Amino acid sequence: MIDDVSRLLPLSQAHLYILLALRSEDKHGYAIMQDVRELSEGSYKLGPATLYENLAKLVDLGVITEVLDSTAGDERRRYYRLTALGKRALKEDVARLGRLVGRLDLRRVKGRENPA
Amino acid sequence: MCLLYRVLIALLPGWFREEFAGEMLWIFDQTTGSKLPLLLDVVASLIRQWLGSALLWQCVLIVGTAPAPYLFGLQMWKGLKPASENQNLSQQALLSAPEIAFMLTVFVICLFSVAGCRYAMARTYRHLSLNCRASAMEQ
Repeated sequence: MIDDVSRLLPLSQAHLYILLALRSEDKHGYAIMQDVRELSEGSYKLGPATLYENLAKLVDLGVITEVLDSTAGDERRRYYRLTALGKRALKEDVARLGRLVGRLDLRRVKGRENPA
Repeated sequence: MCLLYRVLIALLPGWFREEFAGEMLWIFDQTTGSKLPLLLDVVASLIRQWLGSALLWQCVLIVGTAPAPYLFGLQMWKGLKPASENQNLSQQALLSAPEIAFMLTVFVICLFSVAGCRYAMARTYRHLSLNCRASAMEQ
């Protein structure tokens, strides 16, 4: 289990944004695209081909699963959901990034305290 | 623009096209404003998917490397022929060089075929086992 998560880390930028977009609810491709744009404040845009390429890869890795939504109406829409493995991978990668930012902040504070 | 997008989608690998072409076209229809980034995205994906395909590289390697042992063997045979006249080597020993080359060629092809099959099987097995494990964990 630990090995499963550690082999996924660090997540690529596209994977991280997709998992972040799916953290709260199931979404279809277009909603994920829009969410990624919002999360990155427009600095990272996923095109449909890149998005579905990454979604297929994530499904292959068992990080997300496809969900059938009978209420969607449009057959072309496919919903995606984070699996338990995906949730763990996201949690650990966010913690890793948090630790990294924390370390950088600490260095900055130390640099201010001891200006050489 | 839409026609060009459809053509580019048609060039994507079959499994990908079957799975996602409908949704990609739907997103294309929904997108307002410039559609150029979507076209560039498909082009980038095409390059990634075709050049990144392990199967494609295996085919390239098989086609590229298979004649090498044969050509090497042929050169070896040509090189040995004058020596045989001097050193009186048997004709049978000389003829074995292309045969060795042929066997090497078959060996290389088999090696790549086995590697390809193992890769495909491992990929399928991993996909199935991960999905089973993921659904088990969900439950």
